Amino acid sequence: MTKIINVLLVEGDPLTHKQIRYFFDTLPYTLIEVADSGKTGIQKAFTIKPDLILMDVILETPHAGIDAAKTIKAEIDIPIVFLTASREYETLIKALQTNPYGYLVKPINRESLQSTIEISLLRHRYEKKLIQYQQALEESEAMFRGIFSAMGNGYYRLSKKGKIILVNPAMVTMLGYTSENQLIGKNFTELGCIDTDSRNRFFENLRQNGEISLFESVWTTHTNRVINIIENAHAVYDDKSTLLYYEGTIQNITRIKELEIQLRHSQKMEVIGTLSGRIAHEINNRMTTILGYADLCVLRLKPEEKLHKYAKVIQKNARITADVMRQLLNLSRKSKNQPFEFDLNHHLKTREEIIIPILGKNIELKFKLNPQPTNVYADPQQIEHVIINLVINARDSMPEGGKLTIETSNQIIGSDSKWKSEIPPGSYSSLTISDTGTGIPNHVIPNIFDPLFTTKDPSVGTGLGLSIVKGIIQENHGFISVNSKEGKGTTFHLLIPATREISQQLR
Amino acid sequence: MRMETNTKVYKAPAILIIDDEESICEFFTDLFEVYEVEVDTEMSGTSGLQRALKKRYDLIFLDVMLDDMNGIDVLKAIKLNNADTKVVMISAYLTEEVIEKALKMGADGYLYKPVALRDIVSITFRFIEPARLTGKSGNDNNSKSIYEA
Repeated sequence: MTKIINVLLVEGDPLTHKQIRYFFDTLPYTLIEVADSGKTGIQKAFTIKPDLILMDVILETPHAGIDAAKTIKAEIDIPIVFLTASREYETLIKALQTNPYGYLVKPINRESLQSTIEISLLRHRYEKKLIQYQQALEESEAMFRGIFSAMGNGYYRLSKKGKIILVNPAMVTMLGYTSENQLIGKNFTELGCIDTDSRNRFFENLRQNGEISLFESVWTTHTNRVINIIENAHAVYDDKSTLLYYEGTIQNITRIKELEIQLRHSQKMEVIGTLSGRIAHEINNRMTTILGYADLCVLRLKPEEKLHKYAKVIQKNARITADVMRQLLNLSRKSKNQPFEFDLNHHLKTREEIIIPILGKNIELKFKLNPQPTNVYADPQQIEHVIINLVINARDSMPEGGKLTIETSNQIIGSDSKWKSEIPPGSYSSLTISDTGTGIPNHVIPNIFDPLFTTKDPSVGTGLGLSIVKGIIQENHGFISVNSKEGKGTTFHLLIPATREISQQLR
Repeated sequence: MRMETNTKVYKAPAILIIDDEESICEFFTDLFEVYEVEVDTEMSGTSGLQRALKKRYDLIFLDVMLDDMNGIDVLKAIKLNNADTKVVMISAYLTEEVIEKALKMGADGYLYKPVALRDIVSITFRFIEPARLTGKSGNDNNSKSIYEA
């Protein structure tokens, strides 16, 4: 079954009209309509939408056919073949501007009419397909562009020598640059992103296997941030197996790594908690007898006896052990956190009489309290525990005396805050406790919140204090940090949610 | 008045220790040996309770975490039988909830392990008149010096 080809003829000359009608009797085309002017030709083309138009050039005006073809072409995609009696070169040039499918000079014979129509229809079919292909290509390119620029992972393409040829926006941002031009033409090692050893190992692997997946390494960004990277890459060859380039993707897994560490830490703490509860219970039972008998010895021996002195030592150490156990129990006990909103200033003022005797005579206490109410949403008993712990630490760092400053203020962490990556935006109250003591050595600072870590003499402290402090602050959805300079003093900064709403957001 | 009745029944004040740790029982016995006190010890909830039901004690030191019974249940039974007997709870791991519960059930006091000597003595003095706790030597200095230990 061949498709019926509907042809519209726009012809002013009745003779040609008759002739074509005659040709069509024996050709597989239907002459569906005839128009005798450009104007009616346009109307009929729009209403009938024929498969092909045979268009006379000279109609009501010498170029009316060409003008009509232009108008039709602008609206609908129909192949148009010109018929003309003109042999002028200029007419041909003019007609060509409308991208015609054929140009037949009268007198027309049957064979050339058929071949022109067939070639026109074929060309039209191919052009239609070509347009479809082009559209598909454009769509897929747009999709690729979209993925390339929107994907969160970094994408790169490297030359055979490892120079950067192409990077996507995510790659630029991830490495701390602002433009791809800062990267192109260089390799990652000369940019200082990664050390040469690690990169050599990577390339060795890549060359050997042609691909590499889930390669983990540590990179340094342009802004000097250290990030954990997981990388996939492969070599791209042409059909003759010649290496063209390498391409790969990188993902920043720093946050995941951090969470992993946090998770491992909290699991460890949970085990310590459970274990310490049980151990403390066991030990406290034994300590009752050890301490009890030591007490009894001290009581019943005369002070001048040597044994009295020995018993005193046992007594003292048993008490320290008991104290450690008590703190361990506090650590393991999941006390009920009973938070409500209260004014930190008032809370501190009423604790002044506890703080002063803790500090002793040689340490001056200075309050720099915010004149506005400084509300926090927390458990007041727990906050008191934190304050007392920090005050005791401060005192111990100032054996020669000094000054302890307790300061409060309101803090709004905005979405543009430099802390926003660590502290979610919202309103907080800040509590700062600073001393003029010996300070904490730099290498020790990362460990100070670890349980059982201590720099104090075992007879003085147990090292549980700061880990409990941190635990409490976390339980109250707050944040704690420390600044210290050896020989100058130490400052603990605490940020506590100001309202219940914020506290709950942080949960 | 009541004290007089008691002294008629018992020559000396009676104290019972219920704790599953043998050494703790021994320690309490040794601690009180200088006083004219009758000290009994029991190492389980059931045996402790049986003894407390049979004999009237002035003061009972009761461990909260016993192997066979919950100390709170023992306390309840003792108090039901004789509300006058003073019961002091002792434990290595006392939470606020447990303390609250014990006080509600009529406990007269609580001590954390390890217990300081002075705390045992002062709580004993609170419930048994010091005059009744005369030292065997007759010298009262013993009780004072305990506070200095």
